[in-house]
Amino acid sequence: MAAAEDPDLDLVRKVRGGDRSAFNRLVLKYRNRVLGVAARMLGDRVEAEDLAQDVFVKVYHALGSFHGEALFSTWLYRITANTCLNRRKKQNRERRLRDNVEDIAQLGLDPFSNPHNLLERKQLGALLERIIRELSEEQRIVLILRDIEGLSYEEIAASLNVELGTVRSRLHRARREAQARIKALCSQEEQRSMAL
Amino acid sequence: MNCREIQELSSDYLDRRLTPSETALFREHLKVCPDCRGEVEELRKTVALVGSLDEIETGPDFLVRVNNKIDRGGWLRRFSRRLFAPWRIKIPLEAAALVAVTTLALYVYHRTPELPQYKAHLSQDSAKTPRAELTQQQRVGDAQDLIGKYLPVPEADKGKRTEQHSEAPSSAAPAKEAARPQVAPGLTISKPPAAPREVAAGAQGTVTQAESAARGVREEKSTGGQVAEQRQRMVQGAMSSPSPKRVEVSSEDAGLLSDRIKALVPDLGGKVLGERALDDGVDLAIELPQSREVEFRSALQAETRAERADAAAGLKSAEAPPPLQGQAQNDAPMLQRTGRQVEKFALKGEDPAVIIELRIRQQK
Repeated sequence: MAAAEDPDLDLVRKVRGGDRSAFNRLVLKYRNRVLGVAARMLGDRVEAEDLAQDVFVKVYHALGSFHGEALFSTWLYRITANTCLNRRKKQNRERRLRDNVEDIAQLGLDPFSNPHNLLERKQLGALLERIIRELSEEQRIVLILRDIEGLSYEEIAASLNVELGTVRSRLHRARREAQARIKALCSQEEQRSMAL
Repeated sequence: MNCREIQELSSDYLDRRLTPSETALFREHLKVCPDCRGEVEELRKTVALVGSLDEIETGPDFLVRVNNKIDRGGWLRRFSRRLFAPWRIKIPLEAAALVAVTTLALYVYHRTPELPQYKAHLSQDSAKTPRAELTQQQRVGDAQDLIGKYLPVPEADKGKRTEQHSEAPSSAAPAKEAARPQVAPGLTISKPPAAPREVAAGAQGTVTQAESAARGVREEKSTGGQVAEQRQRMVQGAMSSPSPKRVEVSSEDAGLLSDRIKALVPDLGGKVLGERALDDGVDLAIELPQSREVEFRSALQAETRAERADAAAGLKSAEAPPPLQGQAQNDAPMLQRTGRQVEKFALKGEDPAVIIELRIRQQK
């Protein structure tokens, strides 16, 4: 999508003109997306909310340097991704949650079935979140931006400042990794059922 | 396409990023390969599961918090912006202000006469007078040594003085130790070393004390307490004087030459600090303005030459010698400066004093 077709460009111009309400409309539009990326990258809801606020503060002060070369959403995701990665480096805490396999096995869920039960859906969602957090940062951010946020390959490449081929390979490996983990859960559940 | 290629392209297939021909080949393989078909189906479900995750919603006060953060951090940005931005205007203005302040400081410095004079005074002192490097205690020690030659030391003070010398630090002693006020043993010096003007006045008083002390030595009339007091005053005066210079001459009549020197010294603006009779001559301690030292030495040489000439001609007379002042004036026209001028010159404190230890040996 060309920058001229950016649906947010009008709001961006108003913000640059000093319109705080236009900025607030941008915040309301993108706050959950920014928080979603931050929460899945950091794995901490409270910290993610604080980071999301910092992202919008950065956006507010940096809008003067945004000249519409890319979509506003792409630019926003770039700031979000960079802020998340910097925060991760700063805190130097790589969480490796190894208990999800046991959790899923204990729940007795079939991830590839279509869970209609609300409790099952929430439980499955929590386990999927953990599986995503087990991925490497490079694979995780691509998977989040593509399969959760719905960005195109080109937008992801622009947001992360990487080549298109890098996006394809990272996304493919992330999906295969998630598939393998879910498949392992299924096989464990099958073995447990047969044992019973 | 084989199974491996299918696995490599499965993600692109799901995202419809394969070309039509690749898509056709991909589908042809899936029709005949149930394993690959199952793998691709599982991958599709994985993507669907991840995509089905619920949106995470912010707290209700998210917008307020963002605006608060913007407003709270705004003052720092506004301050830095006011200080430096726009830099094309602010930086030259700030540089110009710095230059103006520097120029003003230099102007004030040069318009205030005390500052350059004081600076020159300091550099002159450190460059010309190694005495400035002496510690206070060394100067006290020198003064004691000099005065001690001409005044008897009370018995009660002798032990203390020896002890004081043994404890005196070397020139390399710490500055803090050297700066501590030191007093001669048995004496009480309540004032720090006098300022130049005070030194001149104090030195004048020292002459009287030294002369009377010298007489006291010869006449052995002074008591121990009086001597100690005289020593104290002389130490105070000598502390502000440089280290003594030693000069030795020989004479057919040491006593006569000594009397002539003592008559000459006041005309040169100096003082005789003390006199000591030796077995083979006389010792004199003389304080002179530094500018008159050359004249003094010239007069001394003239006197000794005249004495040798008289001896050679066999014309040595038992009469009183002619005034040495006249000879000194002939040999050194600078001696024609009047006593009043000399006094004024000395009192202004512009001419540092020099102490000469003159030993007149009696020729046998």
